[in-house]
Amino acid sequence: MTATPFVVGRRAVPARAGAATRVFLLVDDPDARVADLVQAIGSDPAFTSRVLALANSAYYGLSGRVGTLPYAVSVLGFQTIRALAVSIAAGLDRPGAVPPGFWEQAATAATAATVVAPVFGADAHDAFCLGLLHTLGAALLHQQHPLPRLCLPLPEDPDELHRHERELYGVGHAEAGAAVLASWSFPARLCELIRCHHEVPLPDAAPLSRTLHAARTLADLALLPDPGTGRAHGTLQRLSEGRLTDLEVGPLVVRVRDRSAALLDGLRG
Amino acid sequence: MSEHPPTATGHPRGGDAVPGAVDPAVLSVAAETGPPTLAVRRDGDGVRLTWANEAARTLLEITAADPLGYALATVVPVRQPGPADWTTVVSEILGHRQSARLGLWHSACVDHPDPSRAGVQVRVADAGGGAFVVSLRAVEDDQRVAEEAARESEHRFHALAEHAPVGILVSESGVRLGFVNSRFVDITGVERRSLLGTQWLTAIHPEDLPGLLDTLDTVLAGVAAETRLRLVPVADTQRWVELRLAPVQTPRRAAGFIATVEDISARRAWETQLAYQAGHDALTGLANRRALVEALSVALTSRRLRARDAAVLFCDLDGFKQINDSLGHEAGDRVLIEVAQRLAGTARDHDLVARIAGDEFVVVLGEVASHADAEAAATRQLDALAQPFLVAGEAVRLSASIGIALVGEYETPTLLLQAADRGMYQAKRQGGGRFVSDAAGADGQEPRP
Repeated sequence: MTATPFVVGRRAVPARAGAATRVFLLVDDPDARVADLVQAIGSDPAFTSRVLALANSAYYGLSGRVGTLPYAVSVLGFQTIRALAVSIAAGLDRPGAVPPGFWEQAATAATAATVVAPVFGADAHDAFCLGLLHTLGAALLHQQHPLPRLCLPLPEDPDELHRHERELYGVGHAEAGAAVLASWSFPARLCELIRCHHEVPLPDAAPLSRTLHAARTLADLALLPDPGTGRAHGTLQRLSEGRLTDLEVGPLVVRVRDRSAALLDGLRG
Repeated sequence: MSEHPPTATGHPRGGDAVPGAVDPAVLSVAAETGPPTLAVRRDGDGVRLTWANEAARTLLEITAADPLGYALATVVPVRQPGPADWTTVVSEILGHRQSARLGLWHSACVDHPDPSRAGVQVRVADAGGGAFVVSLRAVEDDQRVAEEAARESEHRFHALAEHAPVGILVSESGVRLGFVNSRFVDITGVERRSLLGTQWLTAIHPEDLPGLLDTLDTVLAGVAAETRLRLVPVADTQRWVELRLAPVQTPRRAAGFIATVEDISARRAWETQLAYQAGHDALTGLANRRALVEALSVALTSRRLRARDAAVLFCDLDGFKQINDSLGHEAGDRVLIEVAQRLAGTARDHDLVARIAGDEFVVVLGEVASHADAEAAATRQLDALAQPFLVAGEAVRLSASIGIALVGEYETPTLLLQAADRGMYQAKRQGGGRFVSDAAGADGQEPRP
């Protein structure tokens, strides 16, 4: 298999995701109103239930109190609605559609990105969206042929996954995810960050790029049994120019772990 | 005078056959013979007099045979009405329903021919059923000035404190707070009532609480102090504050304190970042040359006090220029970051890894027993760099030339670095991918084991 057939094949949004398609258009339309978004989501019962489930999750602190779709949309915000639309368009809600551990990693990275965004001066909504979707390519590749392992920044051999994906699919998951999202009108600046999410940020990197890398590092600390703590702490300190010290990282990881569990519940509906 | 005010009908309250209650007749006598007291009733926009005792009639020169039921202004004519006239004060309190002013003493004056007796204080109390009791008391000038000054001072303090851009805490006794301003409420993110008493201590980060309690001991003993501490995070935000505490000694009361609280989270983050930038290499996050020289100075100064020596490993990459030239500077920079992480991965807790220029790194080994220890560390570094680097989609290989010098054999950081640098050049001349120990001399070239 080569990269080209895969990406082209994914450009079309699946037919069952008509509501998601309308959401893609609406969130970028400056004239769109919440009512338009609500109408689009409301046309798909599965989408509606996911939006309500997430808004009622403990992550947002309103458990059980969000009864209507307009209220749920205002709680989540347009960016998060867009991320949910992506997951529906990509069929990630179907059984077996994602590799094991996919949602745990996505929820943890999204939580971590939101928590560290202020440290880097990045927008927290963009950060959440990036954290949740940066591994989308891994799920899409997995749907072609099950992946051997998830995308993690600190595997024993960092090149192994990349080589494996190239051999199996002709394209890496970062590139594949960015290409599909671009074809679904996802903002170009976010697509570019997803395409480069395995590249180490240089000193002049944008705040959002640092945020995503720091979030991925924190997600590893929260999820992996042996995450290479020393290296991860060094990375966080370098990215934040000393603002995230070893002393602060420990409590941060605990907070990310707790909050991402709540988010995961909401995402699973 | 009795604490029971007269009713609007002119008779003291509290005598309705309540067992054990004071006889109404006694209260009536007490009211009649007590300090100047009047009963009034609000009537439309005006205030009508319903009762006045002997002292009030004398003070206010009420000569009318039966003044009851008439408007206050007609019973007690005022030759020159002004804002401080007591009838004006009473009318204001009742006319504008300024309930906050009820029950408090207010300075006023009465229209008295003797100027020394013109100064009074007036208090209006709600007697219920639309009736009010007005008490007057004559005051000496100096007493009035002092009380007004005190009240003014208190009013000014509250206005100032409430709108101050810093948090303000005032203890009522010991560590118990009697007042916090709105800025402190904002900083902590906790309701005001949950900060009074000793509850404010629960807003302090548990790890910083023991230090704060020690500081408070010092302050309550009469010594001003400053301290920096963290608050319990609210909405995921860790706040750092600076407390400036001053002791307050009040007669007949336990020692207290007053404190200002400044949110220094942003300043602290900025200071941390500046300190980091001053001592670290921006690209790799390793220590920079300045931090390296400081560390070497410390190692040289303390070498005679320590049982073990320290060593310097000067590491220069082989073939890095080709990577830069063929794959571009960005790829080269990413290789340097990865090199830094791998070198840092070989370091122990008391080692320091620095980048001092382009592709030159220096590792200070904090404790070595001999050259052999330093050489073992150099071997670990060469092994760590031997794994290929994936950059710009390509796997590239690198090696390094390392020169070793022991701290104990040199007098200054410069001489020490020069010695390690000489070793590095010798390793480079031999083809790289190896280390040379300076102690081995010109002939002591050590091929990589």
